[in-house]
Amino acid sequence: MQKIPEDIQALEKKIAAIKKKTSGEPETENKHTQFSHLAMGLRLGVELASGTIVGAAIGYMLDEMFDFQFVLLLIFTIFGGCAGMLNAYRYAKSVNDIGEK
Amino acid sequence: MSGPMEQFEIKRLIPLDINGYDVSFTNSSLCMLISALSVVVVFALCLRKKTLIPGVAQSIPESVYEFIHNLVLNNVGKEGLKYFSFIFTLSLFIATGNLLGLFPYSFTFTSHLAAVGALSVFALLFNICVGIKKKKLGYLRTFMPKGIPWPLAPLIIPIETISLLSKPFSLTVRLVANMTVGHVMLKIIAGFIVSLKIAGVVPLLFDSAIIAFEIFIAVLQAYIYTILSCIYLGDALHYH
Repeated sequence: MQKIPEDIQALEKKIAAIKKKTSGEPETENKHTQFSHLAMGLRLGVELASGTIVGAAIGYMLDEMFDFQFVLLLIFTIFGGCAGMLNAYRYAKSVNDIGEK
Repeated sequence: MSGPMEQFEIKRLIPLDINGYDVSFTNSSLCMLISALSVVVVFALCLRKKTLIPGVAQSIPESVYEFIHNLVLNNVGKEGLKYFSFIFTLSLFIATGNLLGLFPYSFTFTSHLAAVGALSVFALLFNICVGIKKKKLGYLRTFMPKGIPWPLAPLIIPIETISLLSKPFSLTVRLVANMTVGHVMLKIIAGFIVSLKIAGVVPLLFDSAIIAFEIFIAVLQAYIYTILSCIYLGDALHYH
């Protein structure tokens, strides 16, 4: 195996010492800026809408396949809305959990 | 003058037809090819001279590698490092695609639902395969989480299925909407530069500022896409 020169070994020790020092420091509180709040809000909106759209699309496709007119479209749009809310809730919960840590 | 939406038009460069399917080589395909090749070329050029203490050129790909490596490690865990190459490729492809679209006369393939949607669906299928490989039949628990009474299954299973299927959709919509809106805005404001004559300096300055902002958005959206892919991969590996 190649031997690591002494000056690089010293440098590695220095880096390790600085890493140890900085890892113990608390994270800055100002992490969530206004921009990240905006992004969070936008993501919640997209999660809600995408669930409903995907649900409606599945319902429409099943209706076309089994010729149920609009029954499955109706049911799956409601399911999609619930799924969107579930996704939004999970996302909000994960943000909350990170905030509490 | 061309309209703001004309920049998103797909043009056939080499028309191809196989069994009635249009598989032409389009301007979108060309940009995808350039984006993939430019990553390979830049990395190969930067890593030509490999030294223990990296120079400026070597430190660029190394820091990108380390950044995404840490992203995977923090969001998926050590188990996720097996799939690092997939996430790394995906994020670099999208980041270069976003940035490439900012060049004049180029084409933003990330502003098309079909292109990004295909990537997202591929990522979803990959996650499902990883989940099934790890948990075998236990993966089906994703659709019926523990602690929920069985009579609720007819309600919960479709909701969880739609919830899983809507993930690539929300991933796609976010990226596509951001890219489309940015480029349309640039084009509309650029339209005022000529028509306002001397006063056109104002929209010119405004456009320059938006270009800088768009570079930031291009990188940020690629980052968001990567981090969400990591989270979904983490869900497939650890959820329930």
